[in-house]
Amino acid sequence: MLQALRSIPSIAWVPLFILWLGIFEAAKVTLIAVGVFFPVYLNLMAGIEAVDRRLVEVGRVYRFSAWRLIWRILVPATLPGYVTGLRSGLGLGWMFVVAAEIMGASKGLGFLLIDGEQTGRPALIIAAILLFAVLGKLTDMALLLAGRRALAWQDSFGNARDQRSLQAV
Amino acid sequence: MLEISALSKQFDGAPVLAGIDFSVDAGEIVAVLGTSGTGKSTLLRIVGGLEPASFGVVRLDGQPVVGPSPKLGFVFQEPRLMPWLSVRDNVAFGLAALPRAERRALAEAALQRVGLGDVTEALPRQLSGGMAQRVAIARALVTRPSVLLLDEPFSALDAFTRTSLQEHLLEVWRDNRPTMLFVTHDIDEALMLADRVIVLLGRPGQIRRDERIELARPRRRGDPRLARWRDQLFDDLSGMGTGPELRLASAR
Repeated sequence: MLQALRSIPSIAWVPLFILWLGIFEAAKVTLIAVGVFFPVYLNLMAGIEAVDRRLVEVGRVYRFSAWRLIWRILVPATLPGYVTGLRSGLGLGWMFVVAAEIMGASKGLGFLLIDGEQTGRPALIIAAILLFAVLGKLTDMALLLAGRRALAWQDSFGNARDQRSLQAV
Repeated sequence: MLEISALSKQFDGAPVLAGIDFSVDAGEIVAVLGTSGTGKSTLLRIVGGLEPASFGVVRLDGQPVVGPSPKLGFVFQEPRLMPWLSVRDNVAFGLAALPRAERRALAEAALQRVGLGDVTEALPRQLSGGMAQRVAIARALVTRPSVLLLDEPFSALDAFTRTSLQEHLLEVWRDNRPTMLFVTHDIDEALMLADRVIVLLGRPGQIRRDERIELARPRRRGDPRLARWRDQLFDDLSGMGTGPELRLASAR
C-alpha cells in the first residue's frame, strides 16, 4: 500500500489538493508534507530493520516490556537512519516549496522565480536561486549539527577524528 | 540448583540436541565443552530461557525455566554493549526498577569489581575487546544473579587477554560464588576454570563425558596433573574413541 503510494510522483497530487484544500497555504503545506514523508519513512523503516538482533536480545535477557524495548534499544539504534531520512527529506522539502509556489502564490521564493521569468528580470531569478542555496545549506547544517550531537556515540569513519582511545588504560 | 532433564532441541525438524541430562550444584563451575555445531550455545540459550526446548525441561531452584529470569545472568560471545550508552549506563542497563542514583552506584561498584572503576564515562567504541567483555561481565553481575551463563565469553580475544580475563572471572566469582555454566571449545579454558567438564559431541549433540576436575584453583596452566584430563578431552573432541563407525571411517 505504502509502496504504491510512494510510486505516485508527488506533483501528481497537486490538482487533488487544490480541489480539496483550495489554492492557499493548506494545499502547499500538504504537498510539501507528502513529498517529505517518504524519504523519512523509508529511512526510518530501514533503520528499524537494521537494528542488531543481538542487542534486542540483551533487552530480552532483562525482560524488557515492549515499550521499554522500543524506548531503550530500538529508538536510539534507529536514530542514525532517522537523521539520514530527515536530511534527505529536508532537501526534498525545499524542492517542493518551489513546486508549490510555482503552482500559484503571491509571495515566496518560488513566486519570485516565476515573477522574474514573466517580467524578464533574470537577476531576480538568480537571487532567488542563490537564496535557496543559502537556506538549504544552513538548514542542512543545523540538522547535521543536531544529528552529530545525538550520534556522537557512533564508531564510524565520520566520527574518527574525535576518536579517543582508552586501550592503554 | 539447576537441573536439565531429557532435554532435546530441533530446528525445523533437524535435531540439534538429544537427551541432555545433567544438574549443576549451587556455586559449582561447569564447562560445556564441544566443537562447533554440537549445539552447545543452543543448550545455554535454552537454559537461559532465550530459546524454548523441543522436549524436556530445565529447572532452576525447582521451577521450570520458561523465559529469561532475574536469577540468571548472561554473558554473550560478543560484549553486546549499547553503543550509545556510557560504560556505566551499559552496566546499569538491567537495573530498570531502581532509582537512578542507586542504579549508578550499583553499576559503579560492579565496574570496580571487574577493574574498570576509572572508565565509567567512556563510550563502548573507546574500549578494547577485553575491556568491553569485562563491561559485559559487570552488566551480567550487577543484578546479583545466582546463576551466571557464559557463551564462549573469551573466544574472540587474544590468548593473553583471554588468560587474564579467565583469572579475573574467577576473582569476581569468589565474591559471592554464583553458579556458573559456561560454553567453550577451548580445552585449557575448561581445565583452568571448571569443577566439572561436560563434553558435548555429535550432531545432534549428546553428552559424551561428564568429568570432575579434582584440582584446587587457582590452577597453573602447565600443571602436569591437568595433562591426563587434557589428553582425554582432546581425544574426545578429535573424534578418537567416539565410536566404532568413526574409527572405521578413518581407518579406510
